[in-house]
Amino acid sequence: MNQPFSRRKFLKLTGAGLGSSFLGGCGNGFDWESFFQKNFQEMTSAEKNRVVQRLEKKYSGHYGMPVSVSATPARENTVFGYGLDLSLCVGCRRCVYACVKENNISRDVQIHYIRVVKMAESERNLEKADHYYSPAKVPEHGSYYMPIQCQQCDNPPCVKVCPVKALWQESDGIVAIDYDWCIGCRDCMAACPYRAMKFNWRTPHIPKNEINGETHFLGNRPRVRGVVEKCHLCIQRVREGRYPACVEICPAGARKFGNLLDPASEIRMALNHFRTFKLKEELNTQPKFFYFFSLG
Amino acid sequence: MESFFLFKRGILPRLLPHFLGNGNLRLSSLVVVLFCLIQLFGTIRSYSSETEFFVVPPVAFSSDYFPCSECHKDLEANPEKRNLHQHTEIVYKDHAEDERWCLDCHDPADRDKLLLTTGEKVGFDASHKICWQCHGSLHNDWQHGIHGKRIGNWDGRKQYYLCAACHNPHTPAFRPITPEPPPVAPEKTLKRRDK
Repeated sequence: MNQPFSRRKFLKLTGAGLGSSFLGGCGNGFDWESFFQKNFQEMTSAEKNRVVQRLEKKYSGHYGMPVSVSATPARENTVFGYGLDLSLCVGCRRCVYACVKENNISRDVQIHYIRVVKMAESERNLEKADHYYSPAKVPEHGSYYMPIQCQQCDNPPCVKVCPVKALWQESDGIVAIDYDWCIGCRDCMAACPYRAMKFNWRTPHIPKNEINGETHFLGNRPRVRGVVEKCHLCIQRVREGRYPACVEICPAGARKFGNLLDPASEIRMALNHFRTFKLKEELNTQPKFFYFFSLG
Repeated sequence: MESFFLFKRGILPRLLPHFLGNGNLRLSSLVVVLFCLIQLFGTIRSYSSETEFFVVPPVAFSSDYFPCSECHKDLEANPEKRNLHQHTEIVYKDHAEDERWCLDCHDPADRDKLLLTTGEKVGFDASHKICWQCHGSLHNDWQHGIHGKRIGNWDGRKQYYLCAACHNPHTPAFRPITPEPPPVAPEKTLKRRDK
């Protein structure tokens, strides 16, 4: 047998050649770790740490400032509830822009987590609501204002429809999104009766000097084009024990936040003592976002 | 204050006529009373476990006006209702002005202090004590965090805003403010993209 090139040798060489060209082609700049990154729910804490460190390095390099990414887990015996006092809301939209700033939301191709609608005093039909009011001063006589954002449902339709389990409910009640796992199908946008889901049609544009460097993996870390996002109750703040940004900015003190399992919390006090309703309660989404009337 | 809160809104006032109307307290009533007491004190304990807080002082006075005694020490206190020529910034309106005037809250003897109906003097940094003489239910709500604004930690150290931080004591209705710009309407976004 005097074969110069055996069949075995041919296959070996071809395989090696193809493999090396594939690796070499993708080698520069291709991030294997992020390619094989798991769903956040399936990561072990060691894996979470590694991912968080990689993201911190990536974001800090991109924005030229220290950006921290945390993966703080939910606290035990905590279910977050949110209350909004419609007697006091003056419709000033301070919450909308505080939220944009806190959560690194795209400015150009505008995304707002909170929509504030104006309604005539006698009106209860949301189809008659006005999003684009801009008088010189608010509140105007004869109108009331109703901010609408993610209602953190206990029976969330967005979670049900997500085909890739990029959306789920955390044990503290926050409906969270893994932005790396989202495929951008927008089924959740169609499913949500509150229009809480927002889609990044373009790469989010945030001025570099306005980046909030304190981020959470499931919260305000920078997003990319083609993923959905929504209010997450400022997960980066509330898991550290702080109030959400919209609560702190509200000049009327109309926004209440707290632990629904703590009978002395502000939200429980409000629910116990005032007239309360849930938005679109008949859909059985079971929101943990309550509207109440402290006066009258 | 907590016990008052419970008394006003709790189970006790509803049951009270039941005891009073009977003339003699029966054993079952006693059991109910004991049950109520246990409820009451149990709840109080859970309330008093509330976390520490401190208050945000209201807007500071400008040095032009404070201390008040600097000018007022030579002036005799005038209880009459009149237009204030010096303090043009003070308009006392929409706050039961027919019933009250300056010296119902300001101490005529010590101009740097406010005067409670009990005769106790309080500083301007405790002006909320003046307010809750009439607005008791709102004070209750404020104490439990359901009226007024708080910042800080939802489960820890937090700041309470005092009445005067949001309400001008002389014209206490919430003053209208300029709203932030409305969101960009979708049709406008489309137009911009077409350019």
